[in-house]
Order: sequence, then C-alpha cells, then structure tokens
Amino acid sequence: MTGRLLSCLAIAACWLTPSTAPSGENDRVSIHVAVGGSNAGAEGALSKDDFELSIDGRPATIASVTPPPAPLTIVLLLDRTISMETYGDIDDEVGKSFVPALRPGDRARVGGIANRLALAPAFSASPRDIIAAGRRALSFRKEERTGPSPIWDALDRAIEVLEAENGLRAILLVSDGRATGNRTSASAVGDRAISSGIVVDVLSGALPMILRQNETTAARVRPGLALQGIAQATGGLIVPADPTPSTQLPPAGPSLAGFVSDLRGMYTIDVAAAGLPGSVHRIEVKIKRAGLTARTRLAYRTR
Amino acid sequence: MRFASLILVAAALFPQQPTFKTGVQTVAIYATVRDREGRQVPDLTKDDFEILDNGRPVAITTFSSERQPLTVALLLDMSGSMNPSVLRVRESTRRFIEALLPDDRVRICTFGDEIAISPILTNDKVVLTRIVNEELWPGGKTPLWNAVFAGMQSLADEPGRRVVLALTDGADSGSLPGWKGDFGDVRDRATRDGFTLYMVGMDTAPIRAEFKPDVVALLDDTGGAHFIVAPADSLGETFTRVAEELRRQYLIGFVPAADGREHRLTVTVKRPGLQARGRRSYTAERR
Repeated sequence: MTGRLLSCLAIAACWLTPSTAPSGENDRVSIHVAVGGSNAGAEGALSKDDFELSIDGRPATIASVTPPPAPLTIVLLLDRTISMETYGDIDDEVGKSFVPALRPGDRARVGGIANRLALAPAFSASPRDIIAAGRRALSFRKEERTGPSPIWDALDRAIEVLEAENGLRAILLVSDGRATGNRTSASAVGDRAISSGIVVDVLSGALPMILRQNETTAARVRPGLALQGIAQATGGLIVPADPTPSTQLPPAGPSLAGFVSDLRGMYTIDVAAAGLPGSVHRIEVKIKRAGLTARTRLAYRTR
Repeated sequence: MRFASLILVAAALFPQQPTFKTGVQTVAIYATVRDREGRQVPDLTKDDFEILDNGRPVAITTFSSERQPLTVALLLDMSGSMNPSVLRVRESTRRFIEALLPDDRVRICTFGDEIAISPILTNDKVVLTRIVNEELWPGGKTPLWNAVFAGMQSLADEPGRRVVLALTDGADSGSLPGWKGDFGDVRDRATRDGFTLYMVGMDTAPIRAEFKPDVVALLDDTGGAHFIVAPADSLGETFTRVAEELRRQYLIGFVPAADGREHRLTVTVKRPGLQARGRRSYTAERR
C-alpha cells in the first residue's frame, strides 16, 4: 500500500478525489511556503516579485505575499501507544521544548493517542494552560496503550478542529506510524489535510525493517512511509527524512522546537482560487533568487 | 451477555425466516457434515439430523440448509516470530477478502505488540483491503487468548452466528496489561455465549505450530476446527476452506432446557457414512 500511496503523492491530484464538500478554501487560497536552500537565512525579506507560482503547470498571479512570522495555531499529537517506547519521556518535552518555542499570539492544543485520542479541550495561548491540559490529555492507563493505535483517526480529528481556525495551522505529530484500528485511511487524512491547507510535521519514531521471507524474497516494512507522504504533501517536514534500519532516531525536544521554528519562518502567498468547486489544482512555487528553494503543499481544492 | 446464544426473539437469530414465533428461546447449532472422504455434504434435510441434549433427543424447531453469510473476527498473529510470514499473511488475507460474498461481514484484528481490534465490521472489500494494507505491523509476543477474548467481545452484540478465526504460529505468551484472563476464560466465554472458534496454525521454521489437546477440544466444542498450514501449503486456500465450511453449515435450532445448567450436545446424522460436527455444549438459562 505504502508504495502506491507514495506514487500517488508524486502527483497530489491523484490523491485528492473530487468532492463538493467544503474544504476550507473559498475564492482565495492561502499557500504557506517554507524557504530553504543553500542561501536560506541570509536572503532578507522576500517580496511578491521573488516568488513564481504555477497552478496546474501554468503561471498564476500572486495576489499578495505576507512575510513571516505569522501567528501559529498548532495541534501537538503524541502517540503514546506501547510501540512508541522509543520516546518514552516525550510527555516532558511539551513543557521543556514545545511550549518554550511558542511566541505570543501562538495558540496550541495537545493531544495523546493511545487506544483513543485524548485532546485538550481548547486552544490556548497560555503556556501554563497548554502544559496543564496537555498533561491531562497524555495521562493514559497502561491498558489503554496496548492497542489499537488509531493514528489516522486522531489526525482526522486534529484536522477537524483546525479547520475551524484561521491563519497558519499545523499539526505536529510524534508517532511510529504503526496505525491500527482506524475508521479512516491514511490517504483520506492526507486528502483532508491538503484540502484544508494544514501543514503536518512528523517526528517518526520507527525505522524501516527488512524481514526475510524466504531464500529469494524479503519484505521491507516502512511504518513511516505514509507519515512521510502526508508530511510532504502538506508542505511539512518529517524527521528522520529518509531513515534506514540503522538510522539513529533524533531527540524529540529539538525536533519539536525545530518544527515550530520552521513554521514561524513560512511566507503566505494568497492567490485567487480557480476552477469548479471540488476541483483539485496542483501547486508549484519557486523562488527566483539563486540558492533558495520553496517547500509547500502539493495541491489545493477549490471550494 | 451470559445467554447471548439463547436468543429470545428467534426472528432476530434467523432474519431470513420470518415465520418463527417471537418469545421462544432457541439454541442454535451450526453443523458441518462431511462424508468419509472429508467432503462437505449439502442437501440434507431436518429429518436427517438428531440432536441429543444430555443424551436425550430433542425436537428440532428450526432448520436451514441455505448458504449462511459469515460474521467473522479474523485475528492475525503479528508477533515477532511471524516476521518470515508477513507477506504470506498479507497476501492470503487479501485473497480471503476477495472471496467474500455480499452478505459476509469481517472484522480484521491483529495481535503482537498490541491487540488491535478494528472498529469496522463490514463486507466492503475496499475497506477491508485498506485495513490489511495499512494496519498489519509485525512485532511483539503472542497474547493469543487475550486476543481471542477481545475478538469475541468485538462480536458480542452481533446477532446470529459469531465466528472468531485466529491465525497464529505459536502458543500464547501471556496477556497484555488490562486483561487478567487466560485460556479458561476464553473457554468459558466461548461455550457460554455460543461463539464458534477456528484456528489456523502456521508452521514458521523453526517453530512448528501445534495445538494442545485442550485447545483442540475447545475448538471442537464450539463447533469450530483447527488446521495446520505447512510452509509449502497455501494459507489462502486454508482460509477459503474455512469460509466455505462456514457457509455450508446447517443451521439447526431447538428449545433449550430451563435449569440453569451446562448441557452436553451431540449432533448426529442418521444416514450412514456421514459425520456431523457442531457445538457440543450450551448453558441453559434458569426460568
């Protein structure tokens, strides 16, 4: 499946199925763009003329460009199922790394995934409230952590609560991707996240495994592959980016702070939505200055 | 749930046969009949069967030889020792799904690091295939009885025949936190509430799958069976065989005793050369 999912992600339009359901897009589409490349950080503020936008392969007119930083609205989801022992102490990182990375005007909500999603009741800008509500959301009994792991359902719910918010919205997910017991699918969640313009950043807690099946065949198990697909399709990050069975997993705290920093550096490009309601349009953004690259979601859906 | 197998409203148990009176308790037996060559025998009639309740014949009040739809919790062992069989299990399960008929319903479940019972019980092959593609993750031990118990629980509110089909390569290695039961609890629940249990043992060298006599006895008691699949055998064919056996079972019902006791059941076919297999016990409600 995951191979097929990735090949679909190569062209996000394959993944997004036509729909007339409201998608969060109206007659204007906001496209959040992270700027990277060898000259990243030294470029100064970019202006509208520095960006080149293509929709469905054709040049498109940029209505406006808003430079960073934009206020962030974030759902932090921590997978606390038993298979995530890798990051056993990650609860502490909410207070140690995530919340200190937020700035005034940012709002956040913490959720824990065990055999159910426990989500803090509301977004808050108060560090104390975010930590306190997060601690409650992450308090699972041991038996709640032994399955199933409804990661896609949890992501779906996080997207739902973010759809009611404005501005730059993101989900930070720490998970091994070993999803089970879901009502929805990885591709449906990816579809919804792209449609809603929500960035999904992932700290993946699982490495690929090579399982010998017989003398001539081996199975490559890649729990992080669907997560990688979702992160890339929504313009988000995944770390480690391209793991092997021997990759050392990065520490959680700096990764979470890095995600927030990356989001804070995003530009927002506004463009007029095109096409019929429900139609899907491929997005490509380039930066004209040498040594700079753009990372953004792969498509939008017209409302 | 104690008397889930004693359905107060017979019409709910046999939805395709609206002529049954309501308010009548019925014990349902799903019987498999085979000839000497092991072939399943269709086309028998009510008069070909005899049911003994604690050794005494009882009147058959309900009978159907129609093909029966499946309601199955399919439990897939994903413990670490199944690593060499991951692709085989995945492919065989896909084939099992492909072979489902329109009225069949299946719930896909896995056990290993965790016990993952899908919330979806469906005949939608696209959804089931999606679950097989996305939700099989190898690793962990073998909480077999914990998983079988959870599988039964997941079907507890379903009407009619409820089947738990478990694929495993080994013996139980203990339960996960939150369940303190054991094989005895599985046996009690299965016989009391009328679940049918099947097990497929998978040889994965160097582990040889085998089921202990008490396990085999339990499977037989519930009207189920066990199969051992060698490395060279087709797992897909075994799944298909189980599905076909289930569909071709005879549905036989009778009015139970009302003494609150455990009753032994015997199902026999009067024609020579034929053997019937069905549940071997039920617990009567006290009225």
